[in-house]
Amino acid sequence: MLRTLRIIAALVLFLGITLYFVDFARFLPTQFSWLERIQLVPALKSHNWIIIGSLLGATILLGRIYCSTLCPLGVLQDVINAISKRIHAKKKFEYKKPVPYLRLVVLLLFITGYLALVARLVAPAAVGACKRISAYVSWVSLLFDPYSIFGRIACNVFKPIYLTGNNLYWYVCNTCGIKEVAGLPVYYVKAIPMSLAAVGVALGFLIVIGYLAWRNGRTYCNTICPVGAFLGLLSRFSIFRVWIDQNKCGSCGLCARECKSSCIDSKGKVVDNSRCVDCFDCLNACHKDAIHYGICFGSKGKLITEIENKSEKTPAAEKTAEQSTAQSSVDGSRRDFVGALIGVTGLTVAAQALPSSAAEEEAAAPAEEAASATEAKVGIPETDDPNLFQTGHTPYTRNTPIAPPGAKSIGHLNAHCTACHLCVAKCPSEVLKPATSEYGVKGFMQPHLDFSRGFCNYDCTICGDVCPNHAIVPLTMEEKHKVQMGRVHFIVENCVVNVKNTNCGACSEHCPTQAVRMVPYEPKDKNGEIIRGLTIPEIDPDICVGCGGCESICPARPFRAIYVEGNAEQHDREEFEEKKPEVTGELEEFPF
Amino acid sequence: MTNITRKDFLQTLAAAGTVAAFSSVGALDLMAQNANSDDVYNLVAVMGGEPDAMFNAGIEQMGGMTRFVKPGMKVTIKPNIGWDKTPELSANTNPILVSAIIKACWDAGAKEITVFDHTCDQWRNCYQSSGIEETARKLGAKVVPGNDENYYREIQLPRAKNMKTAKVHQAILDSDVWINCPVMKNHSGARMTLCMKNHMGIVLDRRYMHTHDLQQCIADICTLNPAAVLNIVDAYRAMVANGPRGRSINDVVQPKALIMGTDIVAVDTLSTRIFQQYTSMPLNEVGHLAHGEELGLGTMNPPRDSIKRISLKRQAN
Repeated sequence: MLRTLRIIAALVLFLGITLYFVDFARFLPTQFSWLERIQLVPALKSHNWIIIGSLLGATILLGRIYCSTLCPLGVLQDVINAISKRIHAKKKFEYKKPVPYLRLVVLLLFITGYLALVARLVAPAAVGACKRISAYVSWVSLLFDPYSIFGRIACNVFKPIYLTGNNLYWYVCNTCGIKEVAGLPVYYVKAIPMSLAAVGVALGFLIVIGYLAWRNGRTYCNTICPVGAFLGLLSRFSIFRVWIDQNKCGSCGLCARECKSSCIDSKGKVVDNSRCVDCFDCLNACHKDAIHYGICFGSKGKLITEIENKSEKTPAAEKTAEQSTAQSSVDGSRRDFVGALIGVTGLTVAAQALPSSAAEEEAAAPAEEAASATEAKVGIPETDDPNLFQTGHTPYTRNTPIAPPGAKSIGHLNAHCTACHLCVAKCPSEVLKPATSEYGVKGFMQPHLDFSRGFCNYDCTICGDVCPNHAIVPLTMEEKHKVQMGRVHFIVENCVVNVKNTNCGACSEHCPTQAVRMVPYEPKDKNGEIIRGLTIPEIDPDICVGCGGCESICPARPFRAIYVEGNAEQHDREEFEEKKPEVTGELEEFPF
Repeated sequence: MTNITRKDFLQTLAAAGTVAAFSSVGALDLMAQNANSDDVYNLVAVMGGEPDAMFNAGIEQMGGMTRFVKPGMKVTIKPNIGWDKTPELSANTNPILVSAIIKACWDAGAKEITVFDHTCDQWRNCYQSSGIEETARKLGAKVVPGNDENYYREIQLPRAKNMKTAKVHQAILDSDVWINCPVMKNHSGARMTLCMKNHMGIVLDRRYMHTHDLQQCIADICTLNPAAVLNIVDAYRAMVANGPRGRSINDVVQPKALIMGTDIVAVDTLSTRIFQQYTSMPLNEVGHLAHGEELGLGTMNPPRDSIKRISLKRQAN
């Protein structure tokens, strides 16, 4: 009964979160971001004390139910494990001694980072040092927070698969001439993910954690997960817990076979509640009704043992178990884990190294510009379309990446973001892209604006609305219209109007504040005669919001004529002057 | 068995020949142009009413929608839905006008009506904010996206100067007739957004147009086959500054006018002249008009008596 309830709750929440990530058709409204807000690390990062309190309270009362129902990565592992069980019918788990050190170290780092983050708020004097600590240590939560790992998998692996499925469906409908099914339009969507590096990272985690789950169950949760470690500290003392009635137990080990946390010591007749995730798989396994979930003040099982089992076999066993962890011979799961860890780290490093080296290679190509181009972060020549007239020959460098609107500053983003990629998955304009080297090591995989597919929609606030960490704070539409993420730069030598003396204006066309506006331009032709009717961009960076509409549409290649330089600290742009036309009313009579 | 005389035969042949010669849309226009005296116009300007009332009054003067849409035809309507903006900001075609056109097409016996635009902002946001998706779908029209290359097919433009081929949206190519209905706006690059400029929304690669003399490329794409059978400019509201996107409500004026016709250059010229009532816009700066005339798309100087002018103001009082 309890188990069924747990499975239903877990599946509903898991499918909800997964759908929210992959949902390009907007079946779920934006408000469903509560599914992410109730996750522990996002709640911590956004200082949502109500959720933190509820989760901790629930853990003290009921044990680590969080890990079995709310945590999408936990449920994903259970799903993988359930499939593996279907295939290997005889598969069984066995008790493993705890390996607490690694996860405690991760937890310690995580807590240090978090305290530094909080200290930044309460003690502004300590800001400098705390900033550095919180930004760097946040890397731990960035890489190992279970929700964020799941988010990266959902955004970079599941979503492309879902989109590809949609495209097959579209292809079939399109060939049959069907445009709508049940009132819903059928359309094609680009399934290629924003960042292949992010796909590599997500796949690395999926393969490693998936493999561990397939073989051993909840290895990740009890070996490295900082959330698991933290809740484990509490669930040791939880009021409701799984416990063994030592009078009834015959140490047959049936329950331990079912335990994916490998935390039931049937010989010692005790359950390691710090690792137990309250999945309740063991409850039905016992033929003697010796294992229960219920109120257990102190360590009931242990007490009974101490009184009735004079042999003291159990405490001794437990003691040795605890002592032996330090020098415990490398057991299977641990060996797997270390290997896996090396694998992930390798992949991560590779993913980080790959794009930058590729960029460098490309940048080195135009020999005469080699010196300035190698330090260019974005100023790499683009040859995406051979049809475009090659007018842009002056290279440029973007020195500061552009953080999403509402990120406050790059420092704030780096310290709060755990790279769950929910904003990346939700951005309708496909402008948010996981960073590789743009923010340096501390911002690996965090979102930045990339204008290769689109630009930041002036009237859109989705990234801040969904960000569960408040790394991107929610903005009202008025605030969004004001916030300056970056400033526009214009390179007249690259501009089509200047080079070819023909009209263009694509940049100004897309500019929501007219920080780029077209002004009369009267160059002379070969014969010295003035060419009339042309306009050329003129920029006013003070009123620019940095949306990148201009940069994204600029047709000049290989280097664009207009680009946005990021603001390390976001602030409000200046107000633009509103001019009302003199005549605004109805047409009085036809001028023809 | 009836005897066919030589006279009968020749008469039938002549009649069939005439029908064949005049059955193409262009020839029908020619006929209608000659038939101005019969109260069928090719160029109508309306002012002083709501968008739907002005459209209905105008289309009546053009001989009704049945002149353009025959029963069983697949019709595509191409409004301007380029921006994630609400109707009062006048960045997109008025949804009330679009729905009036859709209704007229259904009444004329259209089999299927498709509405689309190749948007600048994210297409779903545009479709939603413009109000066009909702009203069009309510009336049973299909609203399809234009954001991906998959919806486009390459066509040749033999009459064009700079852009000899273009990838054009299948909704245009697969339609029996299509109707062009932009909103009146100023444009930072092309100077004006009107019927000719609205053709950029049926093309996939606009960067090409921007780099190959925008004004010429706009005229070039207007030579495509099929050409729009009807060009309608929504000037109920117009954007006179900071277009085509617009910055705020301060860029918007309200002429309460509508211009429609079969001659795309003439419609755009008359529209520009209405626009001139609000702000300066020399006709020679709207370069695609002259280029269009050069390519034989129409005239910048339509005879005054070929224009039907309607004011709904008095009727409203």
